Amino acid sequence: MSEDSILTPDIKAMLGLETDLPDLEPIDKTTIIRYVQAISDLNPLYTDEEYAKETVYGGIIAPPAFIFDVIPTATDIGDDGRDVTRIALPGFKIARGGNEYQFLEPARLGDVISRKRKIVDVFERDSKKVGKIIFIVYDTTYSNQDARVLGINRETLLFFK
Amino acid sequence: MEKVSFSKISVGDEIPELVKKVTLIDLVQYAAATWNFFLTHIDKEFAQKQGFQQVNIPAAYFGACLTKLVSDWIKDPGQIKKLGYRVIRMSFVDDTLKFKGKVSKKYQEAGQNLVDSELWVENQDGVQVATATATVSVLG
Repeated sequence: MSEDSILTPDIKAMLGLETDLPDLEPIDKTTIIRYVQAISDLNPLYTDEEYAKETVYGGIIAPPAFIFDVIPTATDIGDDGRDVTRIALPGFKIARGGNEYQFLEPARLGDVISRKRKIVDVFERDSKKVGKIIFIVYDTTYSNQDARVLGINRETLLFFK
Repeated sequence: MEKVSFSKISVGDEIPELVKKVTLIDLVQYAAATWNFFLTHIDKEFAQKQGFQQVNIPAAYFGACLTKLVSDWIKDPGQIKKLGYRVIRMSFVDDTLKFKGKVSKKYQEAGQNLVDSELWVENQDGVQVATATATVSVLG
């Protein structure tokens, strides 16, 4: 017999919860340059206007995963450096269980990206190592200033004692 | 730049490997660009207090590099449609990561030429640290 459930009604009630997250700062070339340098991505599509103009995109775009990776402003950062808008359960340890990125349209210089988060699954599983684990799956949908959806990031978080 | 065409891709094809030694400068730059300053990814003392041997590489960094692996392979105007990935083992600063992949399926859907691939990441000891799948669209 496994131990008692840790999935309380309060946690279960998070299913379906929708949250508007703070908008990202307008996408700028400096931030893109830092980002591509950090991952050694030298594709001129992300930095060279002359090159980018001749591509199907007609101008510089942000690397595909860029909008999923940046968080809005330094004011949204806690003492440990973490994004304070992230999903957290007090008293639980947290681990990332995986991500599914959907890339619909590229983000461009100057775009202001808004983000909406929706919790799409909450469930519990047994594990040998840490006992019960709560899984929270959520979609963050990224839209530009014209309300076009550019991408969706489905993330699974694991919470355990 | 040579275009990658659907007709020339076969199931089992290997995706050109990407090798990256992840330095502290990379991690600090990544933190600066993303504004994600979780100290476990940049501060050794903080990481060690959390029980890690060294600062560890954030999961999203794998997503960014896997996206690059696939984008470098298909090249413009090929487009990455989906990427699913999971980090299965911690990686640390100064690890040399090898991003690899193989074509698993090719098909046409809604007028697009789509190619699925299985991807994975190994560290310098040959240990698999992340797995992934990707879907891309390419020219005919």
